[in-house]
Amino acid sequence: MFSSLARQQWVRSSLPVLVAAVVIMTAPSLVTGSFWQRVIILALFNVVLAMSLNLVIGYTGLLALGHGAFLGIGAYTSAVLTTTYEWAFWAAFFVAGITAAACGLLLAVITLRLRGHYLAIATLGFAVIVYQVLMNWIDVTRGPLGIPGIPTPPNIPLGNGTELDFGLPAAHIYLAGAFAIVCYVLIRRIVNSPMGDALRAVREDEISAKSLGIRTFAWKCFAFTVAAFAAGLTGSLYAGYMGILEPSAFVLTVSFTLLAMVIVGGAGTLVGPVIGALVLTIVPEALREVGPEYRMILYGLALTLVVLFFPQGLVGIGAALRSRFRSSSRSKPDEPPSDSTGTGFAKEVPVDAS
Amino acid sequence: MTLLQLVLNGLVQGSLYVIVALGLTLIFGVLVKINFAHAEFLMLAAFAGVVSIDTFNLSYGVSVLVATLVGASLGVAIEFGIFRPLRKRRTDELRPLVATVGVSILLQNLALLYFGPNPRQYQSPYMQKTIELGELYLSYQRAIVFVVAVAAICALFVFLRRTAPGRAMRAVSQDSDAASLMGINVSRIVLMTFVIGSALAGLGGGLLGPMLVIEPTVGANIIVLSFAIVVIGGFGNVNGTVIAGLLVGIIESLVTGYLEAGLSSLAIFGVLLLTLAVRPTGLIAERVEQNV
Amino acid sequence: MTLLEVTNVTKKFGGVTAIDEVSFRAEAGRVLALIGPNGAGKSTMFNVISGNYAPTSGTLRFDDRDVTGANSVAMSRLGVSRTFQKIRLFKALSVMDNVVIGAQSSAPVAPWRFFFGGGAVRAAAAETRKHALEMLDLVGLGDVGDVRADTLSYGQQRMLEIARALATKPRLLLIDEPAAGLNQAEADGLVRRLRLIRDQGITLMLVEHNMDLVMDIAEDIVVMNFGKKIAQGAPREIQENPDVIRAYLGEEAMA
Ligand SMILES: Nc1ncnc2c1ncn2[C@@H]1O[C@H](COP(=O)(O)OP(=O)(O)OP(=O)(O)O)[C@@H](O)[C@H]1O
Ligand SMILES: [Mg+2]
Repeated sequence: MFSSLARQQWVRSSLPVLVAAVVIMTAPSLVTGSFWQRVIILALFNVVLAMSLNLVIGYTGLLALGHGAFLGIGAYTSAVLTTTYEWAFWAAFFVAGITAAACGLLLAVITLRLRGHYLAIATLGFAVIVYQVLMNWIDVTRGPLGIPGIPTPPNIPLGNGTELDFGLPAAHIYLAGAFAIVCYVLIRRIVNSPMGDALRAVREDEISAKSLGIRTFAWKCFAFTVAAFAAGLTGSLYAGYMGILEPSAFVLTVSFTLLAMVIVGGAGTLVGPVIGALVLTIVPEALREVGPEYRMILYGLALTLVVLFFPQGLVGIGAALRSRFRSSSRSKPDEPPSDSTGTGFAKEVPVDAS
Repeated sequence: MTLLQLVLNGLVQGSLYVIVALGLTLIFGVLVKINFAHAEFLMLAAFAGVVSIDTFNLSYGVSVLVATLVGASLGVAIEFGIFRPLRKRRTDELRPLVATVGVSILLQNLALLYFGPNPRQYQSPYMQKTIELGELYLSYQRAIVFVVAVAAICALFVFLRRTAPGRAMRAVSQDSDAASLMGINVSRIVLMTFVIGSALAGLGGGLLGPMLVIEPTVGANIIVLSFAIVVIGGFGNVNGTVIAGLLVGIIESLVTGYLEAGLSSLAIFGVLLLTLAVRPTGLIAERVEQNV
Repeated sequence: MTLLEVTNVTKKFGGVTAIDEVSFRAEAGRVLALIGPNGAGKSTMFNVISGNYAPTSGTLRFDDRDVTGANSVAMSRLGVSRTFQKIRLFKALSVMDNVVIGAQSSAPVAPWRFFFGGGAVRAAAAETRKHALEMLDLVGLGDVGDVRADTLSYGQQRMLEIARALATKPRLLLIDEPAAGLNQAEADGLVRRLRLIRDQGITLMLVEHNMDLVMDIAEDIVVMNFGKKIAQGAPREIQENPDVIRAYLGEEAMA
């Protein structure tokens, strides 16, 4: 027997996952146009990228501006391994994640003693370096020519004689969807546990955190590495889906769009980046026919306006509307502010104690 | 090309970087904030220069002036539109940076929409003539750029050291609370810093025209370089920025001349990461112990 | 038994000598007050003991171990916890979470194990919450656990910092100016709670300017001025010590 509290908890933790699973299962039959199927797949990739970046920005309070670099590292690692070295896709997939994670850890060790603006610029510099390596390490990456002919994941037999055929977009929707759900569940495990508390403590006040025995440096490295790992895995799926890679897919702008997704959705919350990624991938595509520039104009505008007027992002707007609706309909006092609806970033200069 | 020629070209290019990076560093010194849209100011100013020559038939000199004014006005706009409102709300340190990333994306794509992606070039009368100094060649255009840039840097130094507002700016940069107690109107100084810093970006844009092609992404390419310069020189450190900017110009010119163009940003950002790893406060500034 | 032994500790910031060759001991289970005029170096001494600053020279022994130069994470894990003169809470987190984060560091289950779940982990989590709630009750914040820390009153925030520090199950607790900014009623409550803490066997070190409070609760007193130790003894001796009186009068004459 479930107690009502336990049932409530089960509903809260499993319902979103079930709903997402159902939506993804039915998506290919609801959305049949190849253009929008492609948008769905890219949106799902962006969901994972934004969630993982949120671990760094929203929960740990570190402004990292080069997340797209890890996507690029993962994508190219996977692409090179499956084409030049003819590895099996799934082997390349994991190595792509591990390579990105290793780069993330390396970057973390070099730069994480820095905070605030310095860290932002260091990660920016890292993204530029990665892009230039992709452009100039011709022997391996073929530079601006790009890598064509990247194999898709192998078909997955479904038991009843049929196969999940990665020649079709539907299979990629299922794969990207399953991957996004798994990432969501794992990231939720992290942030809803003492690990998440440690990350929040780092964000809120590093000096206090250390005085409570929290190894802040290790936790910052952890957040960076996990985020890079997830981005690297996403890169591998991206390569398998696209079939061709060019360095131009990993310019700085990609990192900025991911930043926009996290901030617009709501940094430091679980669903914020999911919403941000979906909205900022799907809405601009609807504008594509008006003109490609409008897509980026929307990103820029959304990012600026949200920072100026809605610091908690779309999630914050939603919560405010809900509580207003509730208080007007039932005249119940406002809920106390929830704990971790990210305040954003930690302070740069510790305040003087004198 | 000879080594000396490459160094000379690097110095000219570097002097341009210096005036762009100086704007960033001045603002950081005074506010401890980064204006990520700084280089878009340069881009828009460069376009303003193109327009004033192509459409209004103004002379090159006047176009540089127009570009400078456009830069300065954008500085005023961003202080009132972004930085001041966020300052009033006492949000965390990095929000303005994030907001100006948004502004930068916005401006770049508005420019793309309005001016189109096709690169444009200044019609400068000084491109063809060259000065010969023994083995070395320097186009008139580059000579002008270098002289104007150096003059601007010198003027800035004189301003910071010899004038009352310049000294007030330095005081705010050292300790804005103390400056405020001394009766300095910090908010006016901040505005002034934005005007001067952004005017420098505008000047950079105006000068840049004939040397490079102008396109909406030109700012994006320069902003990351400017960041590298500002960090290598030490955030907020004016002298360090001048040295680092010239250094970056020379590195770029040498790597492009002897190796390959793409490798130059690898080299520069390698130096950047190294600086951050070894001496995050830059080549010059001193380490300070965190207050608890 | 001596819990903490500070020997000839000096701390310099550039040209400023904040602590100058100071030595003293804190006996286990007692309340030691560190007093002195503004800028005497008291907070700096706390920062050195808690591992926030490394001493320029001198040695620190804690629980018969040389801990000179150990950082604040290490000191916390050895059982030294602290509050800050300028309050440093996790402002955007709930009151409860502030304390839970402190309690987690003394929990037997490492954070990463929560990723895999399981009975032991759940039990530990429940235990941590229970302990955190006890600490909140101890400082009188048991019924405001759900509000954001920065919505508390100033006095409550000071008490929350103490609860958070206590949650790490320290053996030595350093409290920097707990009564600053408290009203009389709050200060009285503070004294009562500090006694409760001492009665749990936790050694207390206190920096405080409120002399009534100090004389009320301290068993030993160390007096600093301009970075030097100028006196040490029981409260009664300190009150009558001419050097101490001069240090404080001098300060008043200047003020
Ligand atoms: N991080 C630091 N950098 C430079 N100087 C410092 C630092 N911390 C403290 N000082 C200096 O060391 C001296 C002692 O300061 P400290 O804060 O320890 O005094 P205090 O006894 O706690 O004073 P108060 O009663 O006002 O809190 C002061 O002169 C102070 O300016
Ligand atoms: Mg003090």
